[in-house]
Amino acid sequence: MTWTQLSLHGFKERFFSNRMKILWPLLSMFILGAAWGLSDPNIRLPAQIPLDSAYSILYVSSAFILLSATLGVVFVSFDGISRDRISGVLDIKLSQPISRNQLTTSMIISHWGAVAIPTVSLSIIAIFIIGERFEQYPSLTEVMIYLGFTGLVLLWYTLIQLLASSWAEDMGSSLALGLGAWMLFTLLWLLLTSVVAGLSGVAVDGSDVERWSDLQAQVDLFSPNGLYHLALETQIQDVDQRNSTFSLVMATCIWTIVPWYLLARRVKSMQP
Amino acid sequence: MHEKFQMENVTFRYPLPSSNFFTPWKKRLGPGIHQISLELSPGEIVGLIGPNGSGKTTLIRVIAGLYKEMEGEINLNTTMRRGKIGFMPEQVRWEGKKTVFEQLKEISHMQNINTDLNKLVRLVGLKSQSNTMLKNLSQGMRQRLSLACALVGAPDYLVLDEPMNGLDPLAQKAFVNLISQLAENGMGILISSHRVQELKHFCDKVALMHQGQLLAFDTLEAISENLGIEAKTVIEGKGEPPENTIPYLEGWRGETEISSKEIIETYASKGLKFIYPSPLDIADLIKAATGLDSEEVSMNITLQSMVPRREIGEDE
Repeated sequence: MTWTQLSLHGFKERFFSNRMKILWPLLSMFILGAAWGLSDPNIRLPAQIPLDSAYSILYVSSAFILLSATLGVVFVSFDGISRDRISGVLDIKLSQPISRNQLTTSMIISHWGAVAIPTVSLSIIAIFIIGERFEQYPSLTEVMIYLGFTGLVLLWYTLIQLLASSWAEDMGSSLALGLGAWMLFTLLWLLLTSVVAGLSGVAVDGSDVERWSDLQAQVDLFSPNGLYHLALETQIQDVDQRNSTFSLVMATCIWTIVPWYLLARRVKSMQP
Repeated sequence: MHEKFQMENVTFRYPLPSSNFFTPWKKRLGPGIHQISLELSPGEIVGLIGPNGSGKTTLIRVIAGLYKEMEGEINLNTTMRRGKIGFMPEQVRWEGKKTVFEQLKEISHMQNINTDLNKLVRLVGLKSQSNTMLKNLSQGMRQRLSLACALVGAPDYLVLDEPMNGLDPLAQKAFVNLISQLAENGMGILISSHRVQELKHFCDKVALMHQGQLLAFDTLEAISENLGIEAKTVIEGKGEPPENTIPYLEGWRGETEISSKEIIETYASKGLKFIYPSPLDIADLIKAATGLDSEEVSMNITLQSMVPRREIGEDE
């Protein structure tokens, strides 16, 4: 099939690029380092975060994926479309008989795979590290949920970044858009949640924990990072689930389908 | 033999953002091409000439299936055009660590057909460069690679947007030979340029464009005859510039429509050194086709052949 060959071609190009040579050690340090450090039996985390099971260690280490792999997606994909547009290669690609949907799919798969495959591979190694050091392995369901949503969060960031790259007329703007989105979801989301809470009349000073937590869980559905953690939380026994499974499934579908559709529509109407 | 490519009264205009602050999403129609009728037969080479900004690239992109026509008819729809017409854009900046062969392989995946890429790189003269990284290619090699991309999948037609730009005379000659060879094999070729001299030796027909409109479409001889363009002679000499000439290098230069005998009679005593036929340029064609005078035409066109060499150097 055309798009599979094209995806594989694009994947190889990105996977063996200089950017990945920088990203590989960073991902290794973040993912393996987090697994190694957090599975230390003597570790004490701030805010009394309990690390009483192999899965809870995986759950906490997912924060390091959000800090490294999602940023990796931004750096791998920021010029996914804009570079071809500037160099004139996009003219050639758009003049080929391949359907624009297939072109979009191959673009997504190749960019996503370049970061997702190393991240998932390192996460599997991290599970073994946790298993050996903590002497307990997460269940197969927990592993599947963890790896599946790790792949999905990277897919969401890939879609956001490629959309930004298709809108931007130069690579700087594309990087600014992608990095801006990453900073919003990773660093500024709590601030945004506080603003929403303030506007909704929910106290942000900790005096109304129940309403604050409810609101935070709802607002998190609108962030890929928030949804990622909400989905991973479903496997933790003692955590109070504030969103229904239905809303989590819906949010997951919407985060996957809507940006994919927008990107496909964008590529379909794209002119050099 | 494949069918003739035909387009009739085709119009395309670029959508521009609305100037209204309150409705920025609304688009308004900007410049483009208007009511273009053109045909391209198998084995024919058509030169598309016109000054910068005349709509050559827009027309080529419509033909290549990158833009959908807004009005008019083309006998191949957009998807069919992308399959049957090879497109070479102007000045692609190939970059990165990918090799020439890998790049062509990527394009062939987009065509979903098996192309003998070895034969293709040999045809365009890139055989020795097939494992060279794109970033290391010279300008001439980049143009050849762009042509090779257009030839992947053995298209019926080829549209080339200013392919001679940036090529040295030797590379230009090789390029023309290749184009002629492809046409001999039955490929219909449309090639754009803003220099008439570049195309007149190997094009069967010429399409003259100006301000988004097709002013003429015929052989260059027929166009010149229909427009009543008189053959001109360039005269150059030394000393003080006589009437109707301009200072040029150490002497003077001018163009005249009078006979050689009259030239000698008039200018021999004024330092005349050279007489040669004036090459036909776009300005002559546009002036004749539109009735504009030299100043009006040259307001929009900066043509090398119209500007004294010293001034070109300063401009550049």
